[in-house]
Amino acid sequence: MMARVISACGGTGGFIGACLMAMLIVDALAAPWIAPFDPLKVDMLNALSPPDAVHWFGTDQNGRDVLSRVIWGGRASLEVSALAVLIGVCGGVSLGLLAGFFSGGWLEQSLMRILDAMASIPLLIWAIALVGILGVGSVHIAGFSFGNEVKLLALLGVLYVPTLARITYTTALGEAGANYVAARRLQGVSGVRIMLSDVLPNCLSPVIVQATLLLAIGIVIEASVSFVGLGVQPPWPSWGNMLADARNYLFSGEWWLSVFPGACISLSVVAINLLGDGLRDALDPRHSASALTA
Amino acid sequence: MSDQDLLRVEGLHVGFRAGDQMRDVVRGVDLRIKPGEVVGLVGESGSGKSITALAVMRLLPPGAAITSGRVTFRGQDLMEANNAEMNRLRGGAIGMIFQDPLTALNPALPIGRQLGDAIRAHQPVSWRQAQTRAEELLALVGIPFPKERLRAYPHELSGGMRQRVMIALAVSSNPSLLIADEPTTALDVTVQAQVMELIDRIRDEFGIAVLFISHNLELVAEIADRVTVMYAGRVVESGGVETLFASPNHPYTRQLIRCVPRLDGGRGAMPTIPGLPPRVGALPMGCPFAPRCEVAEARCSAEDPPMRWRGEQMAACFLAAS
Repeated sequence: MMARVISACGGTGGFIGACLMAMLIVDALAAPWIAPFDPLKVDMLNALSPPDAVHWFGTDQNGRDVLSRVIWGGRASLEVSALAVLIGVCGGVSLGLLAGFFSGGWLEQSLMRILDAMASIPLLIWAIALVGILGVGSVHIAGFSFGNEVKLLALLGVLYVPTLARITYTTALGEAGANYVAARRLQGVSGVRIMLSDVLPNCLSPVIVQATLLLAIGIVIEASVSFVGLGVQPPWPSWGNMLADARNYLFSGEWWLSVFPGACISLSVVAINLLGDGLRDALDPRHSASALTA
Repeated sequence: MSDQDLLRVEGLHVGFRAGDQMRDVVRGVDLRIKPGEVVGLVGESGSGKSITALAVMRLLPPGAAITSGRVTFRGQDLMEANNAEMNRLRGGAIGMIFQDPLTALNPALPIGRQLGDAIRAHQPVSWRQAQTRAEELLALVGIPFPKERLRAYPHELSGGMRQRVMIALAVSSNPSLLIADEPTTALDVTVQAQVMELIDRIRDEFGIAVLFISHNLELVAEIADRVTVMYAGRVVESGGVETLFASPNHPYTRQLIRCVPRLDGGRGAMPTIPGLPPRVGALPMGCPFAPRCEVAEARCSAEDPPMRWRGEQMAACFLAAS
């Protein structure tokens, strides 16, 4: 049983990645119940106290519990990067699939050139530029108020589209010429149906791997943008803005302020990359074919 | 010239775009299939057999197009049919099976799903009904434990099983014509015999006409009622299977039949036809087979040979007995 789970994750590395990832997801979903303290509760008398039995990760300059803030910060990080990847996958896969399946026409050329243009500008610069232009603060859409990070995740999602579209496009291009597609046509199945029910499933495995890796990039970008103050807005915590606060205490000995959120960023990026590499192995058709016949 | 022909191909020319001109790879093919009849289409690789079949289905590879000719199916002109009408025919009234059953099945989907899709593309049934029908089809083509197999992926089946699944797919909508393009080439000999038996049985049970494309003369002799021999994009000889094999009229057919290995034949080198088929775009004048023909005369390389009829048998050769 255990061996099967490990091989489904693509080996030990992938399994460790999957476990850490699962912890991160549980942390993000259950933050209100896991966190021992209110992450916003100020207690000036207890400011900057080192880790002890009550505050495991110590407290920050306002006396807020660092552990609780790290837990809530994880929620913000994962929320931004997961939703961004979701937007990217939806947009990228549909555009890439269209361009790849209906290749050789104006549709393919125009879609791919637009995506090339988008892909030529670095992600982080885009993110900072756009939030800089729109300004920080909540977004109000149809009576609902969204945090500043919504801007970030929407933008990030749009910026993921070219990468994912290109991957889907390349695979779809190959699959569209495969014999089974010709066979489907000879069975009288319509083009759109072949695209959705035959070509799409065959394009997904590289997309899944890439989406996992983009999740890691999303966490880093969210942290970077929050670090420069354009992402999650105080008093709400994010690993990025916690690090920004911790800058002032780097040389005065309050190490717990920077170590814990920093370690969380590194650990989740490592976890996601391990999982991505593992999935690449597990989903590789040649790899799985040999495993099944063995 | 009767209206009871199921499929009629007349003067079919198919060209591939080469630069800004079209080069014909199929040059005036005539073919006629009556309901319930098995017609063998024989020829070397590159003689235009498969392209003829794809032209009938109006699904030529990119760059290829029908340049002239007429294809009628049950009296309907397929050259005039629109896309929706063609989609109804493909997999509906005309089923098709291919050389390589592994690549012709989608590796990512279980076969039950693929069968279901094909059934529902032509019949207004629910998913559940389609699955029941799929199960019946698998049983029909002789796959054991059909219910369990519906969930199997193509890579979990053997080559023979996959070809059976392809046949099940092809007959899923009760076609009246089955085009079998080298259906046994990728299979080993014992499996080949089983698949041939299956095709024969399906034809008997359902009265499906079969266009059997192969380069294997023995197989064609075994299954076909009539045979059409193609060479360099042209029909060189056609006729009933017995007369054609007993007294071939075209030198190409004669030489081909001599190349079939026989158990009672003597030892020593296998007979072959010297030379290679002409390349597209570098066709010789006159009869395309003349450079390799053992009985060619001077006029063979000068003018196109006429079609000579002897009863139901036709041979495109000056030297054919008429």
